[in-house]
Amino acid sequence: MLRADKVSVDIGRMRILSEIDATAAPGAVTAIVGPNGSGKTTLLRALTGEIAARGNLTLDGVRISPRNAAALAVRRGVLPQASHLAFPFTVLEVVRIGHRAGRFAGRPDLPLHALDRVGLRHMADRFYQDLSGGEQQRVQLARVMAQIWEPVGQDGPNWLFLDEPVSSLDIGQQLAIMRLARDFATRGGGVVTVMHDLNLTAMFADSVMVLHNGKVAATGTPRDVLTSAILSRVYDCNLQVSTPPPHGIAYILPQASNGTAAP
Amino acid sequence: MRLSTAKTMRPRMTLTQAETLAPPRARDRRATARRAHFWLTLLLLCTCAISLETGASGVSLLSALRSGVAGEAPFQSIILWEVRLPRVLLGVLVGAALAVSGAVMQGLFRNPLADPGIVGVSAGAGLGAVTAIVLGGLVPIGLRDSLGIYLVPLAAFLGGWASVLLLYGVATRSGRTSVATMLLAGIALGALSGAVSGLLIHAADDQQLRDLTFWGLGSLAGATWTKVAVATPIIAVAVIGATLLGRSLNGLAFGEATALHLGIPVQRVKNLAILTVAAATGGAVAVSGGIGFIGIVVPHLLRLATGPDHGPLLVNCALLGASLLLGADIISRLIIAPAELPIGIVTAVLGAPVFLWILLRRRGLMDL
Repeated sequence: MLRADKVSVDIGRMRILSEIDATAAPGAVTAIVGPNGSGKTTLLRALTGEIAARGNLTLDGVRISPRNAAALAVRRGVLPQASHLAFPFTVLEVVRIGHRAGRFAGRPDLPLHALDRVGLRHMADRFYQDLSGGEQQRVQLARVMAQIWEPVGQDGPNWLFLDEPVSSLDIGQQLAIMRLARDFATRGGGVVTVMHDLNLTAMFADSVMVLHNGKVAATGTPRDVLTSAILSRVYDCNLQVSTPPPHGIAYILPQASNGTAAP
Repeated sequence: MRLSTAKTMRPRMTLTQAETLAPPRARDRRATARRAHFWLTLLLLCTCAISLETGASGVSLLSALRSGVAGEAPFQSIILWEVRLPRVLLGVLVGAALAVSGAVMQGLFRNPLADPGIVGVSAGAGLGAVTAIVLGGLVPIGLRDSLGIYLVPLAAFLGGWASVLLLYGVATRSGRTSVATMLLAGIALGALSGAVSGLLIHAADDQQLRDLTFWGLGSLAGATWTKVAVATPIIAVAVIGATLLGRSLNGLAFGEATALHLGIPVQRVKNLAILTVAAATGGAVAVSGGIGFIGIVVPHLLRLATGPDHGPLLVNCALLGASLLLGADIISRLIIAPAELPIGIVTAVLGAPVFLWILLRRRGLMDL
């Protein structure tokens, strides 16, 4: 269980997050959504111990802080939004660096399997710098997966923390990557992901947290949270959420918004 | 360094298409890098032998051994044991130290252009050494006596350490290093250290000037057993420390945040890397002055040949750095024999074009 109690983050004199209470359960995909500048990425960075935050943060009882980096690295992987790489590593070498940091270093075939999962095995020998933004993002996901291969380890669930994992992918890849995350959760692991796309969130998340101005505006299942009223208020524009009958998954069409600001 | 054009141009394919093709041959640079340990060791041994053979006096290893066995002609053994051997050993130590400190610094700053000589760390270490010689009289006599010949290298280490700390502080903000800031701050730092050193040298008396000459500036010419004894511990510690940093520096290549998520104790690794760079640079500068470009050429060539994995890279850097410096030293002794060219000229002629080449290849990244 990921627990955050009254987490606040100040950068300079700016309060970026104020008193966020959040939980995320293993076996579920927890999405963090919200408009630009609402503090999504900052919250993820606080939840992974990357930046200093006030409040209590624990992952399955382990305190989340830079001092526990080694203990946390074998239980959870973190996918950043974009990764610039300083030296000419090949795709396979990048994945191997993640592989060596995890608990599965005894399985030398694993990096290639991880590349298979993101559909990039044929690029294993290419240079990371020569890849497109979307391909680089998928290589980084393969690196994280090679670090945290099994959703459940010997001492409990493992976790993936993803910061906009599909932001520079085409729609086919978006679905493929979200299915990977979904599959990891279904098999017992925990997934916490910052999402920009509300439709994918509605489709794949079990639990959604909506951030607005550094505070939690709503939290619950997609059906409870992704409503016209909440989204229109948070995104400051009139949005119409629809739910087609078969699955009841909410969808938001920009065409259905009338373009005026929310009342 | 790229794979064949045909492969690069291969259109994107679906997963099923890719699977029907033969699985790609993982071009494994790890094996190449490990094989390089062997070949570079061999190269170093050969360079050492050639360096022992080469010199103004025409004494050769074989003739010295023969006369040694015959128990005659101490002249040859004196040349070998008192002149050439310390010079070879010092060259090995300094070359390894320069290459390793370059590689560690590049890993720390996540930038292949970081080099102690270029960004003013050598100048800072030089300032430390000059300060110790000229103002050494101000050090309490008890402390000075207990430090003995280690006073100068220790001061060089402190000067180098202060320079790297300052540079890292200036160029790195919240885990990201600005290339432009690093290079420009390095130029300023180097110029300032050089100016203060010049001022101190100007103020030095005759005895201090003799000491300054003894410690040498950009040269292996004054190699003695004393210098070898002084340089060995500090450089050995730095080189061994550096080879332990390999895995952590690989993680750091992704930035500090990702390194942390890979389980690397980032702060400790950074401190250790800074100390290593300072010790290696300080040790090298204390006994030979600043010799440029080894720290940038050697890691770069090895990254091209065997990949950027810092594990094998740092070991290979020590080996190739030692060979390259010995080679440059041989050239500097031969080219205008019996006089000697300053070795810095040789390394600059070899190194400056490589630096420009890296700069041109990475121009896009430099526009910051």
